[in-house]
Amino acid sequence: MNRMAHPVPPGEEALDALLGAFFKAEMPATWPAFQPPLRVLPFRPAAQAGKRRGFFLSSRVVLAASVALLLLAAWLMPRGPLSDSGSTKINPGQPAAYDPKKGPVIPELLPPGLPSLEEGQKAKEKEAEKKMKSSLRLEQKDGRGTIRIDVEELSDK
Amino acid sequence: MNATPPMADLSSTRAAPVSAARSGQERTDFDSLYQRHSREVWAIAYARWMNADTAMDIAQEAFLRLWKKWEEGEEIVNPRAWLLRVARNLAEDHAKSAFRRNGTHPPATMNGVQARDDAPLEKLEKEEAFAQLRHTLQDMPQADREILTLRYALEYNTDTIAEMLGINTTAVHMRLSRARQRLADRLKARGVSDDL
Repeated sequence: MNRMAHPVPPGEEALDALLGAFFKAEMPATWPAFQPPLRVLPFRPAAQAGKRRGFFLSSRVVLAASVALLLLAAWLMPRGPLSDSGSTKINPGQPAAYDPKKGPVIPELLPPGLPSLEEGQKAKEKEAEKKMKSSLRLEQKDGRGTIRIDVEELSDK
Repeated sequence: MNATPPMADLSSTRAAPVSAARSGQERTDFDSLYQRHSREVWAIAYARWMNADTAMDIAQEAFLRLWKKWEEGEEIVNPRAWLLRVARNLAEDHAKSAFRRNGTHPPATMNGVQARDDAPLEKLEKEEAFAQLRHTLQDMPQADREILTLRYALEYNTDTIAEMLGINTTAVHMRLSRARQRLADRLKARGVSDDL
């Protein structure tokens, strides 16, 4: 069934002819030229690079200023701990008082006679404003942004 | 049949070091190298796979790797030997990955499938003979396929084959003769032709 009628001439030359024809048919007709891989480099013109550098510098200054403001605000905030000794006892079994206008009444955790938390905070803020004077400066030297915080203690006089 | 194609100019390839010092004509040098050896690299890969497209992919990959080495400034003393070795390794790696893709069925099983075009009888007979030859070659040892490919695809003479494979011409004659005999016997066993 696979027998060919006479695909190739007889003899040893027949094999040569068959092999030659076969391999020539297998060889690519057109040989592709070599294409070296393209180098993909990030394109950054000099002017754009300078702009980006300025952008990074300004963003760092802004970030530093934000952190400094955050720290300053945290430092200026009154840090009065709640006194555990003077806390009012709350009876869990007792129902909470209810004011029809204001809603549920939250019991004060401070002993009677002491100012409330809000009042204490305000008093401490005023006291801190009186005693301390602080200033924040953003300075730029040699292309480096620095933050200078001056805190000055004022005398009671 | 001992014609040697012009690309088989080996005298210039033996001592053609790929060095780090590059001038503006590096691309021209590489193109020259490609023109000289790309068919040889293709033939080595083809002898492994009996697939022209796969062999071309492997050849291109081998030259891409050489280009990379070239760019990195790595010195390769004998680019031709380097390319042939890389092509062999790539062909083997491709065999492993092909086995993973196809399991126990080699992709070459589809090579004999022919289109059902209305072709002349001679063309059909030729294609049938080629398909039988392809199957027979695939069953033969790779060394036989390699030497037959170099001889008949590249039309290399025994001296060139001997230099390329690093053996003497007597060994080439012997290998070639035995490969041809084995091929003829197998083709006869398949009933391709009694005249071989």
